[in-house]
Amino acid sequence: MDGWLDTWTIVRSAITHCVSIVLIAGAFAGSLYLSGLLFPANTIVAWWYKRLDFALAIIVPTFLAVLLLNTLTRFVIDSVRVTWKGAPNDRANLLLA
Amino acid sequence: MIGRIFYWPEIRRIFAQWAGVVLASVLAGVLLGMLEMGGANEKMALEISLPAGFILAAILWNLIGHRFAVTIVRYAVAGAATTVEFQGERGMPLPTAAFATAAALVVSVYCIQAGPVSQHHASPTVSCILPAA
Repeated sequence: MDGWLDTWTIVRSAITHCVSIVLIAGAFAGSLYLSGLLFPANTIVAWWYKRLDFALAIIVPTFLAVLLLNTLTRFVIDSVRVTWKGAPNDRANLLLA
Repeated sequence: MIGRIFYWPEIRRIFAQWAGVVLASVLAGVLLGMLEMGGANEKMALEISLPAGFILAAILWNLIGHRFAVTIVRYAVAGAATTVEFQGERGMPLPTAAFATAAALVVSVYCIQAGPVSQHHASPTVSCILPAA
């Protein structure tokens, strides 16, 4: 039962992150799409499409990639520490929170 | 029930952190446009605005993570032999980052592969008003 709870905590957090960024970025891009349909020759919509959405499409995936590298590095460091000092010295309770 | 109580602050924190990243991206886009209108070429404008956006996103991520941090709370589960300690998180926990980024990268690869088709159907009216490259 404890293992199931730990696993569910991880999956729940992952789903929350994915749903959050999809909702926020999707609302941003969806608003741009609707604005483009309603105001096809608007200067603000053109600015939005060419600059704001462009920056969003670069920064968000790059930020995710940086988080992935950071996570893998911390995984390796924690694994080395557990292997070196033994299981009671792991940080699983922090990592799973 | 206890899990639900502790889950709501976590949802708020995660949602606020990603909203901060999107806000930083918007500000970086505004800076990009201002630099281009100010006479800077596109390469220089990107070299300035994108790092500024990354730095701002990281600052907002950490600030929001500390603002919405969950404190350490000890609670007892009915029927359990021991007292369970819930360690609140500051920043993104490790397994969460692994799962979230892996899922996001898979989705990104899929979107890149289907890029030309989906982009063509995504916003035809918007792309029509853009100046020719």
